[in-house]
Amino acid sequence: MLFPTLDFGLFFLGVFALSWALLKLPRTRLAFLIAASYGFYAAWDWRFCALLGGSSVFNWFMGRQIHRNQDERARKFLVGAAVAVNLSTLGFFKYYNFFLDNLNRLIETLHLGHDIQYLDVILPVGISFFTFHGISYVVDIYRRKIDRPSSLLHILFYIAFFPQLVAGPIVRASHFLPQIANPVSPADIRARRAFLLILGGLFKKVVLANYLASNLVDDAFFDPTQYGAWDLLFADYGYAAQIYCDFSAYTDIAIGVAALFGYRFPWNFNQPYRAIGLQDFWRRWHISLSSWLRDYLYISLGGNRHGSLKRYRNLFATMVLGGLWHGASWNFVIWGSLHGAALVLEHLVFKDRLQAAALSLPQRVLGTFVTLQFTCFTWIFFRAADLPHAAAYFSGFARLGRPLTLATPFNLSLVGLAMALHFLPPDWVGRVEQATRRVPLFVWGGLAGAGIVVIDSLGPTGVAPFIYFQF
Amino acid sequence: MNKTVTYKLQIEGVEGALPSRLGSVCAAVFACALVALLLGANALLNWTNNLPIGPASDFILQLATDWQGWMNAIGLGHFSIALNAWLTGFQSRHW
Repeated sequence: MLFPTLDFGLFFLGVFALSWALLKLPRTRLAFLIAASYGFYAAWDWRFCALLGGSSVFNWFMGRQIHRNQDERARKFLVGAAVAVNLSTLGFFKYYNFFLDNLNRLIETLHLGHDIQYLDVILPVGISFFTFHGISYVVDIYRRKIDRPSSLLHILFYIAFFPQLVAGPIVRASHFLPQIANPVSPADIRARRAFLLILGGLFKKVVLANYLASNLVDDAFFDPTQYGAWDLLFADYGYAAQIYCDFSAYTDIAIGVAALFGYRFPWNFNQPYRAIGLQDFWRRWHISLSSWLRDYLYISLGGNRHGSLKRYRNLFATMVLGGLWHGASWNFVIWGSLHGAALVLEHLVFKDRLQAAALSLPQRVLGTFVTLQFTCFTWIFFRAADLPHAAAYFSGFARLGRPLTLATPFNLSLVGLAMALHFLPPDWVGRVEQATRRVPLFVWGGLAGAGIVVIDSLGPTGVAPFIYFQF
Repeated sequence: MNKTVTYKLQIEGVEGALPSRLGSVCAAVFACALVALLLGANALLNWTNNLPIGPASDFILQLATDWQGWMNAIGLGHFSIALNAWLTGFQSRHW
């Protein structure tokens, strides 16, 4: 069930009405929202509901054990075991065949015998996200970021709440569980912001991302040999725009939908292509993942506590693993490695001096330009189906003589609009909200309804799944 | 793992947003659905056309067809058609 569909609209209306009708029965309301979330997940593949439920129960149980135990070594063992089980489950579904594929190649190269049989493993949608939520819970209990273990009902809701279930944002246990523990306030629903985020998200996904994919990006990446250098360059910028519009759309809608139920999710994007450097980029792009990796992986590896060399090693390893998290492919490993290496280089050259406030305007413009070019260059590995396709894409940059055919007025408008969103005032949503605060909320609702019809009319027939569903 | 790890505060998507009361939010959601129903009769018909075949969906399809006819008769149904035609024209433009 995709957000920009009438199916989801009807689902949302039903769940919204019933959940608020149950306001005076908080436990029943939570149980209802959990059932609705499992229904939402079952619409993808009902078979994996057991996996989702099993993951929640396991993490709830481990959280209780860690909390009960006062012995630090035992706590460390328990949290390690919990993280290992979570990662093993993720690893099996996500990386089993990738691992086997590489093992079989090694066997073939070394003439060691027969291939190992592949398994028909289906990747459960959202597994990366709900696994990370589970890890966040047990680690936060271990680190005493959460005072006491939550009830099973709360954990089931935390992990399965449908707006963030399949593609984030990754909500920290220490951030979300206190919200669940307190009753939602019917006098504090951030509806104007929610409408703005949902409408903006729908526009980015249905109009910008969908047309960028179908008119520009998909063909160029499917067979790069058909295109010259300028077309490939333009399609690469097109992909940068597409992935931003696609993913930020999902999380904006998720934040908006959660807000209409009275819950608060963290921002996930902050105009990433205006970043002045790579550290800045990763503070703006998929913020909930990059901060999760920092707090649960980079710091667990030792962070910056053991000298420069180990700090850079940890940084590089975090980025490589972050790359691999995106998918079982060498392309993602290379993508993560390039970002890791560039981040290390940026640290070595600039230390921690690359701050926007300390730079002149030309320096900031140069920083933004260089960062954008590097990011677009690495997106080629991210988007290409495999390494030969990425190589074909890069070799296409030598075909300078071919004319630019893909830069139609429409495609240019799409890329231009997606990039222009990055150079609006950072708080533009709040400004719109303030400027229209005297407009009654039901008028806002009516305008949102008209906006939805406009977006639907402008969009192509059918909506492609969000890119991050595959991760 | 270090138990003294300090997390940076996550900035919420609704930070600083204006609060509203449940009654007015329900009215707004209702207004949103109503306007979408009035202006989006064509999309509604497309959606019903893709429902699994059965007595219930036949009934819904008939309702959606009648609804689209009424909306077209009063001119509201042409809104989405005009937008779509404009975009199709823009898409086929070349320099």
